[in-house]
Amino acid sequence: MLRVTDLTARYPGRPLPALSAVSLALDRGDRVLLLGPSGSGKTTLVLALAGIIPHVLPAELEGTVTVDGVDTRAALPAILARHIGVVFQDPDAQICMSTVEEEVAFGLENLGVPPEAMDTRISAALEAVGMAPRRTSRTDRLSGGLRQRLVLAAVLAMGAPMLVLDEPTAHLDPQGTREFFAVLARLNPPGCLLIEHKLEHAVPLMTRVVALGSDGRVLVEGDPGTVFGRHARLLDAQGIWLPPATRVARAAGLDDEALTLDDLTALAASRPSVAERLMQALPVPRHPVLDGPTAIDIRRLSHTYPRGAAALREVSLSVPEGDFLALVGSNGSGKTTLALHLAGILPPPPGRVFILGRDMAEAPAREVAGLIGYVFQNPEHQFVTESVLDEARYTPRVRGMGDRESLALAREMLERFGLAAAADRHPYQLSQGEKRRLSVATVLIAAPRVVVLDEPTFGQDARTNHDLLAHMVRLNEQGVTILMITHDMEAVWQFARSVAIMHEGQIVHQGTVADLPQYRERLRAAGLDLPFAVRCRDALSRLRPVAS
Amino acid sequence: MIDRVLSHYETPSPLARWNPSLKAIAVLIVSFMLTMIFDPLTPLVLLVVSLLVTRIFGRVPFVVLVSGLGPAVVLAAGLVWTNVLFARPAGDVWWRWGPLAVSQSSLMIGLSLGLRVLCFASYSLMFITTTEPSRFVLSLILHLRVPYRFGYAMLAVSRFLPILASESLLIRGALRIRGVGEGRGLGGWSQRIFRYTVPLLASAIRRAERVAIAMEARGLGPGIQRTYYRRPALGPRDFVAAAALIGVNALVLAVSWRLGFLRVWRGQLY
Repeated sequence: MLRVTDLTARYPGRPLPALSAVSLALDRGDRVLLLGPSGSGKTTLVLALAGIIPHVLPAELEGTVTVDGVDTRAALPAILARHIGVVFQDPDAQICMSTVEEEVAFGLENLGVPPEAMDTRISAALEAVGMAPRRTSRTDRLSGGLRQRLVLAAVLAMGAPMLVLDEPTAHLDPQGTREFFAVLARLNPPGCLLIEHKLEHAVPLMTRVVALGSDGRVLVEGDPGTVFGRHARLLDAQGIWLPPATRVARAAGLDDEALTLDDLTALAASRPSVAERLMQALPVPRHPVLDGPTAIDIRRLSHTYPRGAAALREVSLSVPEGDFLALVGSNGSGKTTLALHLAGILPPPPGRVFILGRDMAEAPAREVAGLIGYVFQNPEHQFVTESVLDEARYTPRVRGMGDRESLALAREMLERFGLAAAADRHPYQLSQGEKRRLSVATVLIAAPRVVVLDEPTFGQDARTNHDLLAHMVRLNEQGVTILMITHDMEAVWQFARSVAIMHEGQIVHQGTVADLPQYRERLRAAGLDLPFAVRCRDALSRLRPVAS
Repeated sequence: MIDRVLSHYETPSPLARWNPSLKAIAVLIVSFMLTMIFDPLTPLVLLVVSLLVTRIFGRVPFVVLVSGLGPAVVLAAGLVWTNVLFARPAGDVWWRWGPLAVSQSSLMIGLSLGLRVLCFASYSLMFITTTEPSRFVLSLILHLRVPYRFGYAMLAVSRFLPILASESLLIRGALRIRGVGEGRGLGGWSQRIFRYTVPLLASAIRRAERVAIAMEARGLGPGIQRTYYRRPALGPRDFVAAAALIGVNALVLAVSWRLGFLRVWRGQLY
């Protein structure tokens, strides 16, 4: 159904190819999981399959791609859309129409389907993704999870046999992710290629795994058990995410194949010693900060966007110095709005937000950088200069540090974040991971005593993710207070000390990470779930009581 | 935020049902009529008329209209002041200081200009708050023969303008807390604008590219035979509505002329 032969892709102006001699065959019934670190060419491959490369984006292709028997070079993307349907990452960049049914109709209109035949196809597609009751809903009122399911319905309605999904859940909260994969599991498309790094729900659906290396070549290929069982070390070294069950099994020193929670419990049930080893390999939460001076103090803060619903409703939150607080909640629950007020990016009213006792409504910009640092979800938002070195020096200079001093400090910081070799490059030319590291470095250079991170691991591969969080833990151990917005419950369990759950503009729970298992219902109600480690522990202890 | 104020106010109403292409044409004709008026009273009356029409037939609350007019009020006030101070004095001169003079004629010119700006803004708001963007685009394609690729590109832009507006707020905040914009005077101002614009443009271009790719992947492209699921209605009522809106404006002009208030453009530059 899909044949990729010796495909090499080069973007103009880049010395290294994005893809190198990639070959891939996908037959009817195959569901392939495509993995790779950021920058390994996964998205380039998707664009080549859909004919976007070379017809829309200029890139040089060698080798051939045929989809459903059609050579992508010979057919424009509009024609290839009959053979291959693609769901991209960002629902906001894919939905253009006002209502759900119009959005599904858009693709059918492009195929030239007669209007009277559309109704049944729209109904069937919405039914398939569980959205039939929302047919006349406005698209801008849907949650991220529903929007992405709508895109899936719109692609399904067009009836292409081959379905390609490029990190479809990247923008979704845990509940949206779970539901998306539940829908995908029911669909059973003739052929499917999925790029994903939230592997817990994805892996059981897939029949084959192909991993690309950072050089854009195929690293390993095979059935999921073999790839994650035998080549886990290789994948890990490349910064590729592993399924959580595989990570636990590796941490316990087991060589057995384990892809899911069920695999782990089966292993534990078969061999008595294994349960014990797995239990001990599960990460344990860090100790909470019991008391101490208050670092972040929010007093009954409300915020309403013009003509929008209330984003924050009388939120009060107190975070002690030295805490590492994970702020969790579904998309649109108000997490980012709250965090923006902390650093004065949305100016808080007087008497509502205090950082280390300072009212943020009155703190001048010059003072803010040393009090609180804010790491944006999109690193580019905070770049202000034309070179990496200037970027690092910017804040010290603004704060009045001399030329020589600021240069030395900036060089040291770049060294620490592995960016010394990139000092003369433009910040926009860096890779995803480098941009993230630079944005963190530029914030930390002012030595803020409170750091706010807004989904810092978004779009990052496993290695960048781990390095970044480990760095934050080191800072935290030196006394820096950290507040991190995240959807990643594994990261919460492993790195945070305490957790606050936001739901519909309010904080519905604040407590230690260790106590989180008692609040499963609150997590569920807020669109979240317990960390894998907790669910694993529960499953293992249900198996048989484990002596503590 | 501006993206919330300057957008479609979703409520069923006669103005919302009006064929968007005809509505656009009617509003354009009225705007052209406005450019010919040179006295302050006539645009004032038309401003009130347009606000009432939008309120009554568009069911848009005054609060939304007034907040939508905000930027235009600032611009209009600026026009009034600059004219009052700098226009060539004529008629009664009330106050003089060096080259600056406040006269009856300069005040009238200023008021007329300012009110016309408000009036334009008010008619634009009438269109924006009562028009569903996707219905407008469909009507442009089907009734005004705008090429479909161009139409859908416009639609995509209208969808991500709000996102860009909130993004620009974020970027401004991000740069402010890094200390950008501390510089004063023209240098500081131009530096600030440059710093805001670069990341905003980068993000806009990337977003536009993503939208274009997603649309092509869903089958929109050159040389396809498109069908249309829903066609916006176009009937006699829509023409009557256009005639009515233009008629009301013409009537105001006629009455104003009759009463001797109306001054129109006859090639003069004030």
